[in-house]
Amino acid sequence: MLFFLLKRLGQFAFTLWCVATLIFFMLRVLPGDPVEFKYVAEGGAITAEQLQEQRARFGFDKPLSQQYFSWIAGLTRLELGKSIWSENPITQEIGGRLGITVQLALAALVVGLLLAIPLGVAAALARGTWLDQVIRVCTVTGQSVPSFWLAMLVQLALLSAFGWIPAMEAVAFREQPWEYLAQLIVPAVVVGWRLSSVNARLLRSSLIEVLGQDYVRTAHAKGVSPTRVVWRHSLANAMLPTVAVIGIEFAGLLGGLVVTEQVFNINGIGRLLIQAISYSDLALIQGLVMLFALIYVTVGFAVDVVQALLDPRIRVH
Amino acid sequence: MSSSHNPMNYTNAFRAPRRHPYLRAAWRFTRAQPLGALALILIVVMLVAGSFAPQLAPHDPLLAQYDAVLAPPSTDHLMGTDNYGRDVFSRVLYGARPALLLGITTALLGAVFGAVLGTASAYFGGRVDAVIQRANDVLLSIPLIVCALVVVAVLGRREVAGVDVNLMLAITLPYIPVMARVMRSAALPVRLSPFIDAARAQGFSHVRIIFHHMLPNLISPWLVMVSAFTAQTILLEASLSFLGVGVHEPTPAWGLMLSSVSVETFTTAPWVVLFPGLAISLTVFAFSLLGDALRDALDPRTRH
Amino acid sequence: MENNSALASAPGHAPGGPAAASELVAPVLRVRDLTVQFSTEEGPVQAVRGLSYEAYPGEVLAIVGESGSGKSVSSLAVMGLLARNATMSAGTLVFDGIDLTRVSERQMRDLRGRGMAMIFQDPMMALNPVITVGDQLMEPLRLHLGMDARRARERALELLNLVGIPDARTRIDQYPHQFSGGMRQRVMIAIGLSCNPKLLIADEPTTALDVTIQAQILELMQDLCKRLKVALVFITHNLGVVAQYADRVLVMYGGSMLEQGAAQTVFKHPRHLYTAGLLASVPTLEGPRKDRLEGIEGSPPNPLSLPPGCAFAPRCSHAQSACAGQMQLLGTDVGSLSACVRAPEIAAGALRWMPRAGDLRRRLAPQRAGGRAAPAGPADAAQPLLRMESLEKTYALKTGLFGRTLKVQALRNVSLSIGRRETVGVVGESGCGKSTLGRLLLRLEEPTGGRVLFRGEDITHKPDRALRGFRRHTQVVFQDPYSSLNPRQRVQDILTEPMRVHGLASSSDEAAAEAVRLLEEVGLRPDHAPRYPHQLSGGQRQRVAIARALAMKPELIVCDEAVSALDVSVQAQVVNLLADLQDAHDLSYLFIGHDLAVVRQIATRVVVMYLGRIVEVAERDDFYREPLHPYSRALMAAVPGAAPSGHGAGAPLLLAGEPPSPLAPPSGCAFRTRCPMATPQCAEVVPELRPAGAHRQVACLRID
Repeated sequence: MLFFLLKRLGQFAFTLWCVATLIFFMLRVLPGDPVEFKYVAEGGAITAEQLQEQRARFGFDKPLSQQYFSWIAGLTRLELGKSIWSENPITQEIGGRLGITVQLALAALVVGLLLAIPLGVAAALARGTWLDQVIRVCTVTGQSVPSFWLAMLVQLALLSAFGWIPAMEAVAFREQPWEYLAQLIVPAVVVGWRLSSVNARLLRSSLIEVLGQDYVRTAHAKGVSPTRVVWRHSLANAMLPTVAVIGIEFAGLLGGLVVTEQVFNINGIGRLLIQAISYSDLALIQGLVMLFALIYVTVGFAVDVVQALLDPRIRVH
Repeated sequence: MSSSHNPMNYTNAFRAPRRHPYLRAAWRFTRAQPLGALALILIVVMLVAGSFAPQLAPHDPLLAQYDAVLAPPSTDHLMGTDNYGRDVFSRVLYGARPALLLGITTALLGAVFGAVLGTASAYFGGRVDAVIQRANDVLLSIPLIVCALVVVAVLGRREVAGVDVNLMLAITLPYIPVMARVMRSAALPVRLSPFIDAARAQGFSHVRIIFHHMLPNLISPWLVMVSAFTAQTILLEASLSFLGVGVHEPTPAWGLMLSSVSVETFTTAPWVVLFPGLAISLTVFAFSLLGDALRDALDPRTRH
Repeated sequence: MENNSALASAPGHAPGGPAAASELVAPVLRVRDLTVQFSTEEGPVQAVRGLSYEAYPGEVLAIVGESGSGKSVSSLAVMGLLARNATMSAGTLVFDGIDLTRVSERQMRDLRGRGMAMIFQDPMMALNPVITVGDQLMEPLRLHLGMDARRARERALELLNLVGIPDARTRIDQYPHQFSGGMRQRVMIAIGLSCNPKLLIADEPTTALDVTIQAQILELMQDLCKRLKVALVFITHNLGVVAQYADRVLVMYGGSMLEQGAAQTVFKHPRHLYTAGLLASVPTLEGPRKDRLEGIEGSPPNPLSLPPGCAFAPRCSHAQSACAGQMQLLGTDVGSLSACVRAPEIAAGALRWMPRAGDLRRRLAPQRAGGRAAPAGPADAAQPLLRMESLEKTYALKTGLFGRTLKVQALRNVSLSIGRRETVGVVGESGCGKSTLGRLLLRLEEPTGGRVLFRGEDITHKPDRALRGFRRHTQVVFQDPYSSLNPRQRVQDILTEPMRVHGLASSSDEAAAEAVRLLEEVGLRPDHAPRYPHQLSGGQRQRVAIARALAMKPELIVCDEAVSALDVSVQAQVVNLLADLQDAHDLSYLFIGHDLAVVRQIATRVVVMYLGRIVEVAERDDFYREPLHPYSRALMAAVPGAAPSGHGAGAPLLLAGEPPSPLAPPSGCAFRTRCPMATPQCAEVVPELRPAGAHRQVACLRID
C-alpha cells in the first residue's frame, strides 16, 4: 500500500505542475501590462523608464522561459513571489486569510454531512412515497438557491428577527468561543446547505442501489430485522461512493466560499481572489489558483486514504 | 444468468410496437414523475417570459424614473422599482434572456464536447484515455467558478451579435471536463458490451462505432447531465454577474440585479433583491428537478 | 390405465419416493395450490399457478424448469421474500406444523434462517463485501440461537470445517473477496445450515460455478442434508444434476407443475410430453451420439399472456382441444403425477415426443442430397483456413485502487489450426483462456507472442484498418443474447449494416431483401425485421446474432459460449441450426464452451485447455470414448448425471481443491496441484503436447 501512496503522490505532483504551467501561460495571454495598469489605475502617470524599473522589480522584464522556470522553482520552495498591488509577499497575503477560509470550509463540510445523512437515508427508505418527494424538493431547492442570495436573505432575516448581524471580525476561538461560532455558523450553513443537498441525493441513490443487492437479500433470508439490515448491512456500503464524491464536491465548496465571503465581507482567500482579479494582479491570481489546486489535490488524497480505510477490498490484498 | 431468466424480462417481449410512441412516453413520464412534469411547465413559462419579454413587460427595463426610486410593489410596478427607479418586473422578464440563452447554449456546448471526449476516452482506452483523464484531473482541480473567473479575467469582453462570446466560453469551459468524466464512466460498460465487440469484428471503423453504436446508447445519461448542467450554468452566470464580471450594465440580468446592493438598501427595500433571486432559484430549481426526474424515469432498474 | 387421484392428497406419502425411510415420515413442508401474482405496469402477471408438493427430511427434491416457469418465485413465496408488488395465496402452506399463511412478519423472520434457510445463485455478490465472513456466519447464531460471542465463534469454526473450508481459524476473519466462488458458496451453505434448519432451499446454487467445483458443492450439499436430515429443495434447470442428486423431481412450466415423481422414474418413464421433449433436447455424454437433437420448437411462454389450460400446449405437437381446459394432476402407472391429458397414451407407448412440423431441417435439407454430408477429415495440413502458432497473451491487471499492476498470463504457447468444414470444440473451465483464444483469433486483441495466420497470411500485428478484408471471413456469435445486439438498432439495420459497410449489396432494396432471406434461414419471420431486440426472446435474439454473422458470408464463425445462456429447449434448436448452417454454407466453427455434452453434439475435434495451455487434442469420438489427460478425465467425470435418461454415473471422481490462480500458476504442469497422478517431476518440466494415437495429442508426462 505504501508503494501505491507514493505513486498517488507522484500523480498529484504532476497534476499540480500541469496546473502551474497552464495558469502561467493563460495569464501571460492577457493583453495589457499589469504593472502599468497598477500605476495608471491609481490615477497617476508613469514614464517609460519608471515602468521599466517597476517591471524589473517584479521580474517581468526577463524572458518568458526564465520567468516560467523561476515560477516553478519558487513553487517547490513554496515561494509565490510578490503581489503587484500590495507589494507584499504573496505567502503573507494568503497566510493571513487562509485560516478563516479553511475553518469555514471545514465547518461547511461538517454541516453538509450532518444534514445529508438523515435526509438521504430517510429518502431512500421512504422511496416513492410523499416523504421522498418532499425531501427531493428540499434537496433540489438547496442546490438551486444561489448562495449569495441566500446569504442576503439570511442577513435580512437576522436583521428583522434580532435587529443585528454578526460582525465579521477576526475573532480567535480561544478568546471568544461564542462569538466565533456565531460568526462561523451563518456562512457555514449557507455554503454547507448546498453540499448537503448534493450529498443527500447521492446517498439516497447509493442506498437504494445497495438495498437491491444480493447480499441484502441474503440478510433478509437469514431473518435479520429490516432495521438491522439498513444500519448494519447497507449503510456502510452506501457511504463508500459518497465519500469518493466528497473529494470532487469539495472543489464546489471552495467555489461557493468565494462568493459567500464576498457577501459576508469575510476576509478570506475567496475574497482575495476577487480583489486580485479586479486589480489584474497577475502574480496573486497565479498564486491563489495554485493554492486552490493544492487544496483540491490534498483533499482528494485524504479521500483516497479514507476510502482505503473503510473498504476492505482496497485495504486487504 | 439469473437476470436473463427473470420472467419480468419478458414484459416487453412479443409486443408489437404501439402507435404514437412519443406521446405515450410523455404521458407515462407525467404520471410517473409529476414533479418532472411540473418542472417542464416552469421551464416553458420561463422561456415564454424571456422570448416575449418586449410584449409582456409593462415598462422599458432600462428606463430610469428618478421620481420613483425604490418604490414598493404596486399595480403600476408589480415588483417595485430599484435604486435607479427602473421597473423590477420588466427587468426580471428581460433578465430571463441572458440567463436562458447563456445557460442553455453553454450547457449544450459543454455537454457535446465533453461527451465526445469522454466517449472517445472510454472507447480507445490505453494512452488516449490516460491523457484525457490527466487533462481532466488538471482542469477539475480548479473550482468551476475560479476557472470561469480566470478565463473572464484573461479574455475580457467580446461582443458578437449582442452576445458576450468570451463569457460564454468562460462558462462552457469548466463543464467540459465534468461531462467528460461522467460520460466516460457511463460509456465504459457500453464499451465492454459484446455488441461493440461484434461491431469491431464486423470491421466497422472507429468513427462509426463511436457515433453510431456507442453514443446512441448513452443518450439517457447525457440528457440527465444536460439538464443538471443547465441548472448549474445559469447559477454560474448569475454568480459571475453578481461579482461584476458576467453580464454588464445596463443589460438586465438577474445576478447583476443583486450585485452591489448595500445592506441598508435591501433591508429597507427587500423587493429589489427578493424577486431577481427568486427568478434565479425557480429557473435553476426547474432544470434540476427535470434532470432528477429524467434520471429516475430513464433508469432501467426502476422501469420494472 | 387407472387414474390414481388418491395419490395426490394422501398425507405423509411420498409418491414413488425412496423405499421405506420416508413412507411414514411427516413432510417438513406441505404446499397446496400455491399461486403468486405480480401487479406490473403492463398488467397482472401470473408467476405461479396452483403448485402443490411436499418436502421430506433428508430428501432432495429438485424443481426443474426453464425461464418463466416460476420455480424461483415459488420458493421465494415459501420464504416470504417476495417483492412488494406480489400477492400470494395458497390452499395450504404448512411448514413444520406452522401455517405460513397466518403467520405475522415477525414470526416469519424468526423462522427465516432458523427453521428454513435459502441459498442463492451468485456467490460473488451474496456476501456483504465489507463484513468479515466470520461475522456474517455468526450473525444468525447470535440472532436466532442467542449465542454469545465466544460460543458463536466456536460454532462458526465448526461449521466452516463441516463445509470443507481449510484453515478455518485464519479464514474466519477474512473478507468475502478473499474467497473463491466455490469457497463462498460453501460459506453460504454453512450460513444456511448454521441454525439447524429443517428445510434448505437452494436456488441454482452451482450454476455460476465451474463443473469440477460444482461437483464438489453438490456432493457436499447432498451429503450434509442426508446426514442432518434436512429437507433440501433444489431449484435448477440442469437435468443432469437432477438425475444424479435428486430423490424426487418436480417439473414446472409457465408457472404450473407438469409432472412430479421419483427422479429416476420420471427420467426413465416420463409421463408428460414436455418432460419427454426436454429429455430429448439434452445432449448426452455417453451412449451413442444422437445425430440430431430433438428440441422443442418455440420459446417458453410470456407470463403476461399465458394460454388457458396447459401452458405447454402451444409448443406441443400432440395438443388437443382438451388441453385448453382446466389442468388436473393425476397419478400415472409408474407412480408419478402428471398434468398431461394424454399421459395414459404415453404410458401405453402409443405417443412419442416429436418436434412440430415446420422444423428447420425441412427448409435446409433439400440443399444437401442424402442427409448430412460427412464432416471433413482432420485439418487439411496443406492449407488450413486458420492457424495459430505458439500464441501468448499476457494482461496487466490493476488490483483495485491501491494495488500494484500484476501480470496475468492468459495464454501460453497455444498452437491450433482449423480447416474447412471443421468444428473445433474448445472446452475448459474459467481461467483456462478459451475466450481469450477466440478474441485473439478474431483479432479483437493482439497477441503478446506468437502468430495468427489466415489462409497463410500473417495477420498478427496488422492494424484495424488493414484487417477489414480478414474480418469479412471470420465472424462471431457471443454468449449473452441480451447484450450482443445494439439495443437501439432494429433487426433489419443490424443485418443490413455490414452489407452496406462492406459494399455487399448494390442497393438498399437488395440489402433489405437479403436481410429477410437471412431471417428465414435462421428460423425467424420477415415481420421480425422491424423489431427492436428488446421485443424478442433470448432464443430469437441469438438467431439474429447468427444471421448477423452470416450476413457477410464468412468462412469461419467463432461461437463463444453461444448456447450457454439459453434455455435447454431453445439450446437444442440453436445447436441444430448451427449444424444445419454448417452443412449449407461450408462453414468452420471454433466452438468455445464449458458443457462437454453440447460440445460433443457439434464438434468434430475437441481441444481441452487448462490455465492457458492446451492439454489434449483429439477427434471427437475418440475423445468421448476415452479421454486421456487426467484433467480431461476429471472434467468428464464431474459432469453430473452423465445421461439423464438413466444410464447414470456412479459417484464422480471428485477433483479436490481449487483451480490455481492465473496470477500465480504452479511451476511445471499447472494441473499437478490437483492431479491424482502427479509426481515430483511434474513440478519441474512443463509437459509438451505429444502425439498419443491417431490425430491425437496429450500434454502429460505420465502418459505415453
